[in-house]
Amino acid sequence: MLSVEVVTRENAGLHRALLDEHYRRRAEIFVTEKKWRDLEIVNGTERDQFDTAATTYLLLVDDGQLVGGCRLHPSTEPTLLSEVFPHLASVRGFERSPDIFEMTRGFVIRSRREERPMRCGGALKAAILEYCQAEGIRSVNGVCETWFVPGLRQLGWPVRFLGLPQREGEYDLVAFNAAVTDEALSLTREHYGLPAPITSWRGIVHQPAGRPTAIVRV
Amino acid sequence: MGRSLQLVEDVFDLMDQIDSLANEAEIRTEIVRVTSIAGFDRFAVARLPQPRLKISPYLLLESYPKGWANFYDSRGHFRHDPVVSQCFGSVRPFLWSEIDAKHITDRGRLVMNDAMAFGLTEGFAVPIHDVFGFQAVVSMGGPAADASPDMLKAFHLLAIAAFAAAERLAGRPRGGRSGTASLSPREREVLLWIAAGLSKAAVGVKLRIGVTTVETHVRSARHKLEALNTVHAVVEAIRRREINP
Repeated sequence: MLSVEVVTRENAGLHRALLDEHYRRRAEIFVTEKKWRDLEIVNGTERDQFDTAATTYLLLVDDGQLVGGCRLHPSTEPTLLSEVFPHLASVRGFERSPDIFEMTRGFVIRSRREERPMRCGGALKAAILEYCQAEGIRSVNGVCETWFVPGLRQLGWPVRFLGLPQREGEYDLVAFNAAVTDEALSLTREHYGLPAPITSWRGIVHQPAGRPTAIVRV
Repeated sequence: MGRSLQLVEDVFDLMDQIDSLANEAEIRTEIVRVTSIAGFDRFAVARLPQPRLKISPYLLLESYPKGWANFYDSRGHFRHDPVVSQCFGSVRPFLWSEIDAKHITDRGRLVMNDAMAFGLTEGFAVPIHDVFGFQAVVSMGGPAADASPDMLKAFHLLAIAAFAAAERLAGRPRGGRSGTASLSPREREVLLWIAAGLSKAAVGVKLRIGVTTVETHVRSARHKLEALNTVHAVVEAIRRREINP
């Protein structure tokens, strides 16, 4: 069964093997397969300056196997958008605030991309929204391929473009901000037929300070 | 402020408002207001059915010249349209004039010439791949284009916003082109079983009703969906989210 492990510095020890497998998959997918520029493989893994203690990893697991993942960063830290792609937000700019996060490096392993609808991709989208709701995050920034956006809109994500799309190598990329809404979460779950919740918070006990909602950890 | 920069700002302002515009005519007017600055005074948002079918039942929102869609279908242009073929193979927006001449057949050239006769000389097409696995296109056309690269990038985004707006409008009862009645539970049930591959006779057995009753439900659903045949009714029912096979 699909589930998404929320991994932060707090419980990274518990998920060491899974996290390492995720760095290896990133090398395979983003460097070897997608040939993203400025990335390199070190010891079979891919990491960059945004893999820090402040990063949260959402690791998609099916029957104990890692099948996908993505990263979330507070927008108050240096991010891919602020350091590498600020020009993608040149029309509307982007806000930096503790309750705005940025998502990067979303991937699903090749053997799981043929399914229609692609439940693995859907599970990651649902996990991002669940995580944000639990942590009191109001919206997410992201850089993605432009053709990806109509689909997100259909899933109820209120995507706002931050600037004009630009060609980066063979990719046509665009920066966006999307508010975290109940509607997006329920449409995403419904479209992909996902259980709710999809996130597992094993090993995380902190209560975000200053946020009124009680969070149930399962 | 440069003309290009001003237009980009206008497009972003429109994208901020478009979701709150309730009225189809208003959305059409607002889109054309900005695209015509670059010479595209017409546009259409359409789902792309599999080749060989007509385009008109799939038009979600358009401001095309009067008579063009009917003329286009009466000539059977859809299956030969070079813009359509290019959309099926690509996620990248393109100017009609950029389509590689090698990929344009003589029959395709005829489509382009007819378009020109309707005032659609140059255009900008944005292929859309939706989350349901359907393909759509937003095409903007006009007598002559005068668009900078940045304007085209802005129109690419506007096309995505227009598609979302068109879908939102199509999801609601619309006057005129499409029927407003929704399907009855029985009609939905019948179409669902047909979508699953059952014959009308088999659906009758499954639902313990006679085959003529099944046919009545199908006919009624076809009428409501303005579908040309049963397969079209199934496609249309899926598109309108009446059924979710």
